[in-house]
Formats: sequence, structure tokens, C-alpha cells
Amino acid sequence: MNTGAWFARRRNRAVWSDPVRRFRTLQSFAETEEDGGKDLAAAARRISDPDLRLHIERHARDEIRHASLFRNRAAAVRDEAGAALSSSADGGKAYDLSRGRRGELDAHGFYSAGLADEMGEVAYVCMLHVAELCAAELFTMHYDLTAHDPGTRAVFEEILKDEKYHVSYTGKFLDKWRGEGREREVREGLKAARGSRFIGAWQRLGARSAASFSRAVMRIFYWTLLVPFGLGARRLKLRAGWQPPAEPAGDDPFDSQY
Amino acid sequence: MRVLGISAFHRDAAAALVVDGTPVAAAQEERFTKKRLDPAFPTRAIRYCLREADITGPELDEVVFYEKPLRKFERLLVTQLRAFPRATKPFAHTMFLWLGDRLWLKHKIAEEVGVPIGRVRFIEHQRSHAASAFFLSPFEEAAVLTVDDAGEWATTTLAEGRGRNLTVHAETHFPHSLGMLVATITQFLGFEPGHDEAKLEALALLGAPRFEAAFEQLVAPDEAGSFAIDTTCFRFPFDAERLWDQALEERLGPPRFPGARLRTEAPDARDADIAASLQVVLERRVLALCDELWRRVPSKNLCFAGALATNRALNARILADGPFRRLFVPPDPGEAGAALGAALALSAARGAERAPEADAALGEALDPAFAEEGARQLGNVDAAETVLAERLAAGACMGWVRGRMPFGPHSLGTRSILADARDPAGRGRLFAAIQESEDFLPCGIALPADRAAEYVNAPEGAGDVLRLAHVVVPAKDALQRAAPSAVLPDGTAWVQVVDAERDPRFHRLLTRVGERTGAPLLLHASFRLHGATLVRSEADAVDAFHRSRLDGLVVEDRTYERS
Repeated sequence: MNTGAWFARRRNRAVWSDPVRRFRTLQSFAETEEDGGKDLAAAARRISDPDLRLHIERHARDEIRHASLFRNRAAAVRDEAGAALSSSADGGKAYDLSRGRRGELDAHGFYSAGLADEMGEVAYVCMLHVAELCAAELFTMHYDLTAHDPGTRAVFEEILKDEKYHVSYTGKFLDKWRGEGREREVREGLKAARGSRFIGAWQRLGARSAASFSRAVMRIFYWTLLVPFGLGARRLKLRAGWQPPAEPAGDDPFDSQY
Repeated sequence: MRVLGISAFHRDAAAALVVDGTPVAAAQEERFTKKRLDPAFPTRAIRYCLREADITGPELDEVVFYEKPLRKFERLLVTQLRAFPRATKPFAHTMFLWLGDRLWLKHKIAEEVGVPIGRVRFIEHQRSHAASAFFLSPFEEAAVLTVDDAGEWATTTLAEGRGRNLTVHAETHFPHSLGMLVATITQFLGFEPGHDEAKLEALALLGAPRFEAAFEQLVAPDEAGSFAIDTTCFRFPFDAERLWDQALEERLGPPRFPGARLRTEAPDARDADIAASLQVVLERRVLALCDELWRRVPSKNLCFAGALATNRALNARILADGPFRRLFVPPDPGEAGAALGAALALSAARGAERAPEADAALGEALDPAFAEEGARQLGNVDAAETVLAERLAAGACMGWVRGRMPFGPHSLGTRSILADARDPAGRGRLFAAIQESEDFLPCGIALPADRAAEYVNAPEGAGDVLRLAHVVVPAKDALQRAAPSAVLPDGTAWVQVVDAERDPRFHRLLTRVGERTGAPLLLHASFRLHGATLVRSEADAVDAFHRSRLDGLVVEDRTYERS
């Protein structure tokens, strides 16, 4: 097992062993699956190959069904967890396993309405294929890590069957196109799909590292250079009641940023 | 004179273009990026505004940002330093954002818009809100009230509008903020602050104000109609992520976890009771503000803006029990509307004449030449509206998309979903069609202005707020019989009154529905799928239609059906 996978398993284990995070993760998986299903349904209408369209329509229905499996399981976890979910301390546990962090690309999301138009059918199916392979791998890990929670495990077991089908039908279409002399198109599509996932992960890592570093520096400032200012600011009384409006600096009141 | 107003970095970023005092274009960034209430710098909305006026950035005379960034930075710095050491994490986050780009906003605006840096201006946040209310109103003079969450330091202002002048008389300062109180309780009840405040208003209808005394302490009355927040119960003065403190739980009990069941029924109706208590105390405090404003500015007219001006029940209470006779709330009283307010205020200060009354249709128009696949052309909008009326009368839930994109939170019949009001389950069917799962949410009811008196007790002076759907009104028995699912538990309804002169197409549709059903009433809601933004283009609408459970879609002069 490589280091990345080791860290991923550790993080996932921590999430699945905590009822609050488990609930939130299942709920956000449901949202992601539902969005994916809707986007696939929209994409299916844009697909010209009738056979492929049927597969993508079924894929869309699967995603919607997964959403409802996750949602039902989330409700069950919520009921099982009971009072734990209403404690204020739990409200601060911010992350789950499904979504990218705010402002980032969805960590699981790989579909977007209109993408089939923009990319063309081959590139689109390449992207689906790569995404489904990753999803199958991810869900297998979740299945392994939820042995202590048979209800959640059963959901992953059910979904993994569908994932096999999704990988299989996308793979068959790629083979078919290869057989029709579109080998190069398929190869480039797969390369682009893998590349965009890698670049996305690399960008996320870069942005998170830079943000973490900057925040660490700011924390140090807060606890060192700014302490006297903090003590001074504490003496300021932020008064209630009516205050006169602030007078902007300068001749033109619209000029100043203060 | 061309002035571009910009709001950004809080929520619902927007751009608005005002030419010679008249709003020409305005749009929220979320409509283009599809991120609900997107706070990012509104590059796409700016592009749209310039395109609409067929000009480029350098042709703008001035660009105005809706707040004073350095004063806001001062507020953040002071409040987070005061909270040492509790604000360690929020401080690091704030500085990361501000040192990154917000402190260099003037350059950013000049660069993004393409204007010389000397043409970039700034105006106070609350003044932007006040201007959005007064300069769009039909009043030549008015008292102006803004009740908001936070801008720079001011959270509430008492102002006076007269002709081209807007004078602020007094303001209350952060952290004493009614808007932040509402945002905090929104988060406490498991909703998203800044997004879901309307849900609290709906939830309040299901509860009893048994926490009224607690809220009376949390937001105590202060001198001359002002108020004071008990800051020991809140973290919002220094933390934008987690807004309440443990002490609030001692007053209100355990919070609701996001996604957990809402406690709205006996024996535990805590969530509804908290919302109801908040609403009661909020109304009391805002009425006190109105009294104080009237004492300083004894006008018949009130213009109201800021985060709380979207609260329909509060607006109704101001009309019913406040000292003013007429009320105006702009199409968008919130952050996006402040972009338009900033541009109007600067135009007025530079001597531009005031525009005629507000129209919310300031967004992008549909392209009549471009139909999506599957469209059935009917030749003209009249024929399409006849089909729409027939389908609605037959019980279908329909989407209706026409004209320019509305600016503000309400679609006002331009990007709407509609259903026959007679069906007692109509509201539920309408929301199910767009995947809205929160069953306590009310839906709006549209009715023609000339028939309104038959169905509702519309208060005097409510004409503009009824047209812009900013107020609840008591329903008469006729409405209870004709549109049972639109009437709320307290006997009121969220009404949009449609004027034949201002919106002849919607009025005509209501009349046609009335001819077929006996009552010119339609249940309506904004055409947005659960969690998504309002549909913008025809392609968006068709896409949303196929994802929804709507029975049909009418876009201008064409229809779309399920295959």
C-alpha cells in the first residue's frame, strides 16, 4: 500500500467510526449521486448512439437509486445516533468524504451538464470510465472499512454491483471504438481524463498547502506581534445605541476606501 | 453618465449599470456561475451589464464598490483582536483573505473592469442599501430604514431621502446587529445562515413564542428605539463560521444538527418555537426602530432595505402597526441590490435625475431566435399563453419562462413554476415537481390587482410591496376556498399582485386561467431545482424541466413536452 492510500484509509476509518461524520458523509454521498444522476440524464439526451444512450440512461437511474440508498441509510444512522447529533460540539465537525471543500471542484463529481456536447461522445465515455474505475476503488475501500456497520456496508455492497456494470459498459464502448479504428481518439480521451483528475488533485494539494502555510504564519503573528494590540483592543467598548454616521475622509466622499 | 455598481465578497455578488440615473442592467453573479448566492467578484455579471448597454469598460464614467473596504477591515481586525485568544482560527482565515486580494480591491476592480484606477469609487454599505430603497421608490421624499447583518461598522441606519439627496441621521454599530442575530438563529436551527432565513419565517408559523423572554434578553431594547445584543451568547462578533456560543444553548436548549428532523410538533416543537419567538421579538424591535425613525423623519413614506427587508411577515407588521402609511422595499433589498443602490447613489450625487419607478426585469433577455431541441413553435406568445392557461386549468404543473431575467430573490412570473390554485395538494405537488423536500415552506399565490380585494385584505400603502411579493396579507374566505394550499396556518398568504399595466402578460394569463377555473389565481414559485439557482436561459430552463417532474414548459412562444 502506498503512502497516499495509507493516509486515505486512516482518514476514512476515522470518518466511518464517528456517527456524526458517518451521517454527514452518507448524506453528502446522496447529494453527489443525485447530482450525478441528473447530469447523466441530461447528457443522455445529447448522445446520438441509441445503444449508448440506453446505457447512460440506466446509469443515471442507478445513480438516483444510489442517492436514495444513501439517503435512507443516513436517516437510519441519524436515528441510531440520536442525541449525539444534536450536540453543538458535533456541529463543528466540518468535513465529510464526498464533497470537495468549499470553492473547490467536487471531489467525487465528474459530470457536468453539457459536457457531452463539449467533449464529444468518445472523450465523455473515457471520462466516465476513468471516474467509475476510481469510484469503484473508493467504494471498495468504504466497504472494507464499514465492517462494524452492517447497514452501511450493505449499501456499498449493492452499489459496487452497479459500479461493476458502469465500468464494464463504458469499457465495452471504448473497445468497440478501438475496433472501429478510433484507437487514437480513445487513447487520448483516457489520457486526458486521467490527466485532468491528476491535475485537479495536484491543484487542490497546492492550494491547500499554500493556504495552510499562510494561516500558520498568521496564527504565529496573532500570538506574538499582535498580542499587545489585542490587549489594547479589549479596552475599546463597542457601544450599543445610536451613533453619528462616520464622516468619509477627503473632499469627495466616494474617493476614500475608509 | 454611466456608473457601474459592484457588490462582492459577502454573499450574492452582483453588478448593476446605471445610465443617466436610470438602471439599465443588473444581474447576480450566481445566475452565471450556478453557485447559489455566489460571493465571488462578479466578472460575468459585469460583462453582461456592459454587453447590455453595448459599451466597454473604458467607456464607463465611474465604477463604485458597495462598501468601504478599509473600514470593514478595521472592524474585522478590531473585533478579532478584542477576542484574543478565541479568534485565532478566524483571524488567520480573515487575514488570509484580506491580505490576499481584498485590501487591493481598487486595483482589482480597475483591472477586471478595464477602467483607469482614478474612476473607482467606494460608498458605505448601509448607504448602498438605503439608496437601493429610496432611489428605486416612487417617493419624492421618504424616511429610509436599513436593518442588515454587517457591512463596515454600521448594521442599522436611520436615513432620510429627499429628491437626489440621501442623508443618514444615525446608525447602530457592530456587533449590535439584528441581521446577525437572525443569521445566528438560522445556523442554530441547522440551516445555512445567509441562505435560509426565509425558512425561519415559514417555520415561525408552526410554533408558539415560548422563548420570547429569552430573546428579549438576547436583544434588549436600548435608548430611543435602539437595541443591544447580549454578546456573551454569540461568536459572530469574531467568527464568521460558527456564530453562536455555548451560552446560547443554555438559553434555548440544544441546537438542531443540519439534516436532523425538525422539531415542529408537540411534545417537542422547539425549532418552530424558537423561530416564532425570534419573529415576535424581531418585529417588536423593528417597530421601535420605525417609531424612532418617524420621530426624526416624520414622513408618510418608508423605504426599507437590508437583510431583514426580505421578511414578509415583518413588512406586514410595519404596514399594520408602524407609523408610516406607505412602504417600499426594492426588488432586491439584500446584498445584490446594494450594487444597484451604490450606482444610483453615486449617479444622484453627480447630479443625475431620478429614474422612474423600479422594475425588477433588469437581467439578460431570452434569445427569441434560438429554440432548444424538442420545441413546438406556436407562432406568437398569445397562443403559447392560451396553451399554458389550458394546461394549468387541467391540473398540470408548468414552467413558464419569458422576458428578461429578474433581479432579486423573487422570479415575479418571469422564471416561474405555476399550478392551479384549486387543488388542496397544489403546493405539495408544485414543490415535489422541483424536488423541494421541506414541506413546511409556503408557496406564493399570484392574483390580478383588479381582483385582489375579493381574495385578500391588502393593507393600504402596500401596492409596491405586493407587486414585488415582499409582504404577507390576510386571506379572505374566498381565497381559503379557492386556493386552500396557499393559505398559511395563521390565515395569511404570500401574495404577488399582478398589475395589468406593469405586467400585461402575467395579468392576461391569470385572467385566462380565471375564465377556465372560476378564480384568477395561480400557485407559483421560482423556477429553480432544489439547491440550484434560478434558471437563466432557455437551455437552462429546458435542462431543469427534464430533471424536474413538471408536466410542461412554455418559453415565450414555444412549448416543451416530455417525450
